[in-house]
Amino acid sequence: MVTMTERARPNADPLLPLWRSAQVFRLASLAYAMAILAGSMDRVVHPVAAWSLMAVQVAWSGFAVTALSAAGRARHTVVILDIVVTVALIFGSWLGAPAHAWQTHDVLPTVLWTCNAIVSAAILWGRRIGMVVAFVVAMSCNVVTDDVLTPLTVNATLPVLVCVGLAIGALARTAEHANAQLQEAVELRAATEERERLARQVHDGALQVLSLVSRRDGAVDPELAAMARAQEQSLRHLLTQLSPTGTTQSRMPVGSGSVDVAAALTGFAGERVSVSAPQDPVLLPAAYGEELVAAAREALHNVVSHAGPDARAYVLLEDLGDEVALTVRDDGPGIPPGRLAQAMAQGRLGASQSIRGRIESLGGTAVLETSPGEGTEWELRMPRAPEGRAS
Amino acid sequence: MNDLEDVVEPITVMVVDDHPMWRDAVSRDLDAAGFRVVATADAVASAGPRAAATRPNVVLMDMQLPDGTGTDATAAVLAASPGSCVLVLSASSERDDVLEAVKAGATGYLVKSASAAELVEAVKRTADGQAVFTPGLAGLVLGEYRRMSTVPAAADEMPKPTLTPRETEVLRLVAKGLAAKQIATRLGLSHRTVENHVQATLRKLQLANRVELTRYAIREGLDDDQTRPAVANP
Repeated sequence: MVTMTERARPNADPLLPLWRSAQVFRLASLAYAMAILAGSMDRVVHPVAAWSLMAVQVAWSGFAVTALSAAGRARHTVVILDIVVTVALIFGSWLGAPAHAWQTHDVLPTVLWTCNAIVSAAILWGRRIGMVVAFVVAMSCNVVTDDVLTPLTVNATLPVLVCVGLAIGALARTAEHANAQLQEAVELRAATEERERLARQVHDGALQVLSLVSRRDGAVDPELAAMARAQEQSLRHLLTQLSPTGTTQSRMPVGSGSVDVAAALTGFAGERVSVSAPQDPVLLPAAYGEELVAAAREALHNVVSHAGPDARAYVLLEDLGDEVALTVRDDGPGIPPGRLAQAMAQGRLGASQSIRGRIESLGGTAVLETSPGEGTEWELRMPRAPEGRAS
Repeated sequence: MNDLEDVVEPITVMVVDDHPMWRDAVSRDLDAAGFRVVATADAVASAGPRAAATRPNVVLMDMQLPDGTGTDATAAVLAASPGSCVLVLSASSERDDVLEAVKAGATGYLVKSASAAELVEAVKRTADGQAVFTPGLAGLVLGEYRRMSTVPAAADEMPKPTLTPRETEVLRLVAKGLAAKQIATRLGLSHRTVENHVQATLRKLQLANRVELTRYAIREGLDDDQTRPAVANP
């Protein structure tokens, strides 16, 4: 079990704080709308109708605040209704007074409060839909106040509301994104801690017993000792990859589009494969590095399938400055002369063609040396800065 | 092993490792092969004094100790007992430290999963003054010489150590997994000459490292008694 500390716990509902703040704004804007209506009584022709609509506005606000503050509810219905009710209330202003009474400079009783529908839509669906809803709400206001043709310099309702939709939508997506990253980081930390714990456990326990058994060659069944040795080697290899200081991290691409060939090759090391490489990373552009590693994989695969069960393979990686040299040698029986040509003549494009193709297509060279009893040896050379390509 | 019985004084060995089970198993193997395990140590702090007291021919060195690295312990052991030869035994996960231990004076390297017979052979060769190489170590040493050749030497510095073409050739073959005898056949050299070339590659590296450490100590204005390699290992 890995315990998580309080300092960085990802939230299951990362936008909940945003929803709750929005509801505080809803209540504040409701009080403002009531004050505006009270101050507009000289223009209101039908006060009873106007205050009835305000009652609806208060009732809806109360419901929306409750519904949207709760975590994990299906908010879509509430937000759609929020938009419908808002637009309806904007047009309802006509019941209180005709359009010309509200025209220019004057404000509708709903005015600032209409932002709530835009904020809700932007939090829920992001900035694009937030801006669309803002456009609808703003145009509704402008129709009601007969301001559709009023220049934006005089009536800024439209640009202001669209900006609200854009800003809140962007904010919501950023918050979600940050939360997702935090989630990932926490998971990674938990996984790393778990790996370290496992590695320690294996190193101090099972590994010691295995090496003890494998060392007591004479005292125990030789087959058992060999099995213990094989398991010991594969466990040690596994630990290399589990260890955070091991190769797992450096195997990640370094910088943009580079591959550490040395780290990638270490992954091939095992009971029958020895890998020799410089201590420092050997970086190649990703496409070149990956082809080189793939060619090495094929050459090693060839050793397994053709060189017999006792053959061992040796990989040597050298950084020669302007080029990278990779040798894959085995101590198997080798390939009799003419054998490769024979395979080619039969139309079988063997692994050797594939290896050569990979390397030569990128401007490198691939040479195979073999003779009976001498094993096989591939020497692959890949230029560091391929022609027509600065690196 | 027969020739060991002819030797009047058996080869003395010290085992530095913090796992008791491992120490016991290795000690048993070495005893059985005719060596004498004269000391064991489970930490850097105890390795130096015990080496000074017992002066072992060969020190088997683990790379991971509770109070430091095998490199620290190698430097401590060689400062306390300059006549000893250090053979590093490392799990593959500690590969990167091996080069540091070799620069600090270790003359051989073997993976921990090597068989008892391989270990006995390696201890014998180490006691004989030979360098015990794995292909992996050869790759690291080759890489280190290349790295040094790309770093421009400062005006006040000694010239960087370089390999002769022959040494490079030999080291490359070691890195490709060829045994000394195979290399000798392939290059038309004697077995002993090949061994000498291999040893030379380590000796130059260690010498350069010692010079570097001394210069570092002088530059930092350290007192004489603080310039022991045991502490000056940046």
